[in-house]
Amino acid sequence: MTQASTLIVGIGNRYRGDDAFGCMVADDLGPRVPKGVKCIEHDGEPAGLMECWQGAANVILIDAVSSGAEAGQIFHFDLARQAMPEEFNLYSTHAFGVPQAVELARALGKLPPDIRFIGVEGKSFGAGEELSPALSKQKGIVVTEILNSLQSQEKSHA
Amino acid sequence: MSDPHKNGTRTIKVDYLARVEGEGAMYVRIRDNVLEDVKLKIFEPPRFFEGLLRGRAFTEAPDITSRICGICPVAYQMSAIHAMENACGVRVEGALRALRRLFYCGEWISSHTLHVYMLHAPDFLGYPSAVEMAKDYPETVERGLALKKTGNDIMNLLGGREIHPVNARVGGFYRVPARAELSELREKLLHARELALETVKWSGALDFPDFEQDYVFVSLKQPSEYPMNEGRIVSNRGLDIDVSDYDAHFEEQHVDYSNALHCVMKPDGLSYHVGPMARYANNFECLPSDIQDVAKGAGLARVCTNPFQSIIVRAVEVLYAVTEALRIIDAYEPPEESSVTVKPKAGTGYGATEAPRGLLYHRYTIDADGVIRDANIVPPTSQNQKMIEDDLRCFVPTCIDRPDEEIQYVSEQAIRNYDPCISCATHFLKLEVDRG
Repeated sequence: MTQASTLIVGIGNRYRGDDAFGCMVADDLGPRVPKGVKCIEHDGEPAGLMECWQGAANVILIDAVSSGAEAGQIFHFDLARQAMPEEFNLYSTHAFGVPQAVELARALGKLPPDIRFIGVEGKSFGAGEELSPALSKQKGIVVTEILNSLQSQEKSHA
Repeated sequence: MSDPHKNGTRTIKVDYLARVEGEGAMYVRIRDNVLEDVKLKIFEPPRFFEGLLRGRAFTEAPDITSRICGICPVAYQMSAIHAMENACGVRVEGALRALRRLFYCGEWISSHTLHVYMLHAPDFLGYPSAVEMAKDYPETVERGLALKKTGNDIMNLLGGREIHPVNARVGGFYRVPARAELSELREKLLHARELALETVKWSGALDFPDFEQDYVFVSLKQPSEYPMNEGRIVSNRGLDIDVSDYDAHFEEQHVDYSNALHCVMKPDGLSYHVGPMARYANNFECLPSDIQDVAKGAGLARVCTNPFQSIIVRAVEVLYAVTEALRIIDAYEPPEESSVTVKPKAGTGYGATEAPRGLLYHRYTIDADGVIRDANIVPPTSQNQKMIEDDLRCFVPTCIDRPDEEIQYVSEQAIRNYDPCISCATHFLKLEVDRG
C-alpha cells in the first residue's frame, strides 16, 4: 500500500534481458520525480501488485511486452478505460500476471482511478542477458515522457 | 474445433498447453467410442540447467536453480542446498533448520493458494478464469489473494523477495530475521489461519466428479513431522529408501513425442504419483489432530484417491503450513550465526524436498575445490507426467459420450489436478477434433 498520490511501478526481472526495462526506467526516474511521487520496482506478482497500488490516485505501470511487434515499439494503454489487448496477455507466471492483476482489480472495484500502462516491445528475454540496443534507446524516451507528464500534472494542480 | 464423425474416429488435440513455465499439448484419440490413445506432449525446449551448472561453484547452485521456476524457487533452492550439504558432510540444525522450514511454509501457502483460487477454482465453478469468477464471487477471490499475500510476505522476509529469492545459501542464510520481524508476520498469520480454515471448508463443498484411482503415492516421510525439507523416500506400497537411493528405484525415460522426460518406477516401468495427495496419504498421522479433524470435516478420508479432490488436500496443506509457520515463529530464538561454514569435499550429494507439486530430487557431484562436475534435477511435473496420462486414460472413458468440448474441459481440469508447471495456458487451448 502506498501513501503517495502518484505511483510509478517499473515491472520486470533484472536478470532476464529486456524484461529489465521497467526496472531500469524506475532506476532513472527515482531521483528525478517531484515530491509526492513514489517510484518502485516490482516483479509483477499479482497479489503484491494489487496491494502496492492501493491508495494511489494515479498509477503508471512500465513493463516490457512481447506481442509480436517490432522490438522497441512503445505501447500506451489507459487501463482505467480499457483492458490490455489479448496479444499482451502472454508472459506471466502460471498465466497470472500483470493483465490479470489489472482485470482482477477492476472486477473487485480496486483499480486506481487513473492507471496507465507503458509497454515496450522486447526482443530477448534470456536469462543473464543485457537490455537489447533497441530498448536501451527507448529507455530515455519513456523516462522523458513520464517526467513531462508529471510536470503537466503538477501544473494543472497548481 | 470439431469435425463430423468419420469412420467412428474422434481425435481431440489440445495444441498449445502453455506459455511460460512450459509448452505442451494434449492428444486424445477415440475410435468407435472407445479411447484408443492419450499423450501429454511437452515440447518446451530443454533448458539445459544441468549443463549450465557444470563448472560452476557448489555455492552457486541454489541461486542458479531457483531460476528454473518462478512459482517454486524455494523448492529448487532447498533441494540444491541440502544436496550440497550432503556432499560436504554437513547437517544444519536448530534455528537455521527451523527458518528453512518457515521459508518453505511461505512457498506452500503462496503456490497452493494461487492454484486453489486462481487456477483450479474456476474449473469447479464454471468460469473461464479467476477474473470472471471474481465478478460473482468477490469475497472468495479476495480471501485467496489475502492468503497468498501472507505466503509472499514470508518468502519476502526469509528470501529477500518472493520470486527468485536470494537470501538462502549453502549452510543457512545470508541474513536471518530478528524476532521483531517475525512478530509482524505472526499477526498476519493469525488472520491467515482463519482464511485457511475457511478455504478448507469452502473447497470441501465443491462438486467433484466420481473418479477414484489406485495410486502409488511417493513422497518424503519423517517420523513425526509433515515433510518439507527432508526425510526418507517412501511409497504406500512399501518403498522406504534413503534419498541417495533414488536413482536405483526411479528412472527417467525419453519418449519420442515429448521433450520432458517421463519418470517411472523400476523395475516395472509403472507410473507413480507425487504431490499433495501423496504427502497427505503417506503422512496423515503427522498432521496435528485438529487439522486431521478439519480435513475429515471437509470430506477427506485418511487417504484421498479422487484426484479432483486434490484441491481440498492443497487447502489442508495451506492450513498446515500457516499453523506450522506460527509454531516456528513462537519458538524462534535467533541463531548466533546466519550460516554454518561448509567446506567443499569431493563427492556426490543428494537432496530431495517437497515442492508444492511434489518430490523434487537433486544430485550433484563436486570436486575438492567445490566445482560442480555433474548435476541431475528431477522435478515433480516430470514425475507426474505419465500419471497424468494414466488418469486421462481412465477418466476420458467415463465421459466419452459427452460432446468434445466438454471432454476437453474436464480433461483440462483433470490435468490441472496436478498443478503442473505446464498448466498455465490450458484456458487458451485450441481443440481440434478429427473424426477420421
